[in-house]
Amino acid sequence: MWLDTLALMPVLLLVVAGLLIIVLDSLDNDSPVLPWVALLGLLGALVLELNRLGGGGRFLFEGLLRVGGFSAYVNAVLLLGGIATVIFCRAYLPRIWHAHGEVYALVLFALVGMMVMAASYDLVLTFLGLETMSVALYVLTGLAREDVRANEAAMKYFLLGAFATGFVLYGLAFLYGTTGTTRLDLLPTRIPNTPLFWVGVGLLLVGFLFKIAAVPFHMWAPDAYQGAPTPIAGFMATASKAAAMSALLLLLGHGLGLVRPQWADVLAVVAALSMIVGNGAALMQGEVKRLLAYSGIAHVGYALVGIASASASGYAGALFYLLAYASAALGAFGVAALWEQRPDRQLPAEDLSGLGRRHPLLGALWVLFLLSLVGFPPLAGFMAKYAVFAAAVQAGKIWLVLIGVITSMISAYYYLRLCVLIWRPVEAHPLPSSGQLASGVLLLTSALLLWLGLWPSGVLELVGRFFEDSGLVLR
Amino acid sequence: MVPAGGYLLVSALLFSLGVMGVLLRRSAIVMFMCVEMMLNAVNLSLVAFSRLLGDPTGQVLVFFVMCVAAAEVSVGLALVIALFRNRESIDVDQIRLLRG
Amino acid sequence: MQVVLFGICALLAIVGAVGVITARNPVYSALFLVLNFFSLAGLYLSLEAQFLAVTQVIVYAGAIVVLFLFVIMLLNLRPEDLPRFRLDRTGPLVVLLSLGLLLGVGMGIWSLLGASFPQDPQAQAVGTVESLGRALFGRYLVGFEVVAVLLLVAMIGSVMLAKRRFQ
Repeated sequence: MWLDTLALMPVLLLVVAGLLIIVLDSLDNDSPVLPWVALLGLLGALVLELNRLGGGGRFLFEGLLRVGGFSAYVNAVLLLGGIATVIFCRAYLPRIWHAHGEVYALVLFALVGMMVMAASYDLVLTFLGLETMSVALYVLTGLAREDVRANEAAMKYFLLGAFATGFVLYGLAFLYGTTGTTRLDLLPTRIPNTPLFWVGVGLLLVGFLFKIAAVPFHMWAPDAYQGAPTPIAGFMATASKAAAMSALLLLLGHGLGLVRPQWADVLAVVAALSMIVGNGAALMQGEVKRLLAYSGIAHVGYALVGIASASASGYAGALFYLLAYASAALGAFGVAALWEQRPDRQLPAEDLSGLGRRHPLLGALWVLFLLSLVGFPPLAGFMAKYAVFAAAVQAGKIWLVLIGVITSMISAYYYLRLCVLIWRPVEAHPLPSSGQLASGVLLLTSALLLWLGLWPSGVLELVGRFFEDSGLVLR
Repeated sequence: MVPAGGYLLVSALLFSLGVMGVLLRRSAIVMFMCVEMMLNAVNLSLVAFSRLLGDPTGQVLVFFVMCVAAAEVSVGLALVIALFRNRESIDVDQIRLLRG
Repeated sequence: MQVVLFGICALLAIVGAVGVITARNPVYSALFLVLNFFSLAGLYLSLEAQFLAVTQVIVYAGAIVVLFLFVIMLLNLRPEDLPRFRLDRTGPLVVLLSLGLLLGVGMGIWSLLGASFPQDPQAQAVGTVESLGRALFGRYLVGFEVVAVLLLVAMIGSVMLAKRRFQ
């Protein structure tokens, strides 16, 4: 038991850091030390997770959780998102007069929920992780509480999120009632073929697709991102999606791996719709955060192509995609957070013009992040798309790949427009909030994008090892 | 002895009423109440399944759901208060600042 | 005995639910919600889940509805302030959707309709404090700890959102 608790050290570290932040915050309100405490906890957890990345997974607490391997990889992606978010918040929040210490604690606690989701092999625990993450994100979305926009965003997100929770739970209840277990390791042997079981799977899917903002359950995402503080929007777009996606992968790939044909086609349709609607709507957006939200919906579609392939290489591709998307989107939201200067926290696309001339390095990084989102070789986005599309071709879903390629080409239009816009010869304002640390994070993520794009084989082999040929998460 | 189906049907009816309430009402507070009703309906199913299977997991989950519901309600009502301070209204159809 | 308890409580629960979604005054909605929660506690009792029945009364009727009522009083919402339904455009669609959901789930439940509860002592004891405590603090200990984090998040979050102003 004690050894099992020790194996949860990365999560415990975040909890302790969060508690420490709250205590310190009550002693010295909004002290500048707090982001450093958060960073220390996050870095410690990241080191621990990276350390057990290569080894196989290990079950803890009678098969309740599984650490190492798959969960170590996802947790590393999540922690990367957490680190970037804390650093961008440190640069951004003082400017909107909301540099509250509690924000860092809430980010850490949201990460606790996400990491539990990525490691959980019991749907009860997955549900609790999901809710911990969601409740923390509702609060963070409504952070600028004197602004009606933030209130509205948080209210919409909360109402729809709580509604979706009801569906997740009802689905979970039917799954439990028809199989007699909530354990993902026992589920494969107990799948009945009763209609009630499939109703349960359907309801559970609806809830999960809502949390990852896949079409047709995506309506909340653009509003929530537009009203949330920009670094938090980046956090929601990357970390929360990665966590919910990996929980979905565990449920579908492992728990329901033996009945793949029944869910693979449904997921393929959702993926196609997400790619079409996400990219189509992004074409018409004038506000950068809204545009990035729709682009995020489209990218969920691309990652779902991997899961819908229902093969080991598809799952591995989806995991690789999560890392590639997270790095690029974190960078893009980071640049947006640093550049945004309006008091109403909006960033219309025209505001970007002149960015490149005023700050060539920042402009170059922005272009790099967007090109990776397009899927331009030799960046990570290209390799990621290649990985999921190759898996889909192997699975015989050529139509899905066609939709993916065409929508990618369409998406190039709005990404490139944003790339060109920043080099316009316009007199631009100086960078409102800056920080060496924030620039450092941007440089690091861009380096990661280049590395993943040029030498992807290391990471691809790593994620491939999590899955056996049967497609079940076993190692 | 009432069969398990009786409980499950009552639960399904309550869940649908909750869904209907969330989608039909415009007052944010009543919408929250309806969400709570949905969660409660699920709890009834879970208790019935747990009793049917003779396995405590379902009832443990109900216990957790109660905690989750309490947490959601406190955050949701805080949001209602924040919104009302700025808007003097909790009609969800009147807040349309964000495009979309 | 169980049949009578089930019949009365199920009826009251449905009446309460209909009341919540139709009452014009949010205070009445909250009171109907109490009725709904109490009758669910009765249903739990008829399922021999004593611990949950008590928790249901304490947590839902005792804490959650009181919180609702506090906020309604705090905001001083008068009934005429509030438009009730949005029946104009989407109403019929929503009703159809909910009925469709009910129908789908009901058809799923059909196969279990006649399933009767096991009557052996072990199955009957599943809802006791002892059996729940063993599961909660045995296998689900980590879940219990995660809930602790969740409640802390909710506490910090609601204070942050609802406090009048930061110093």
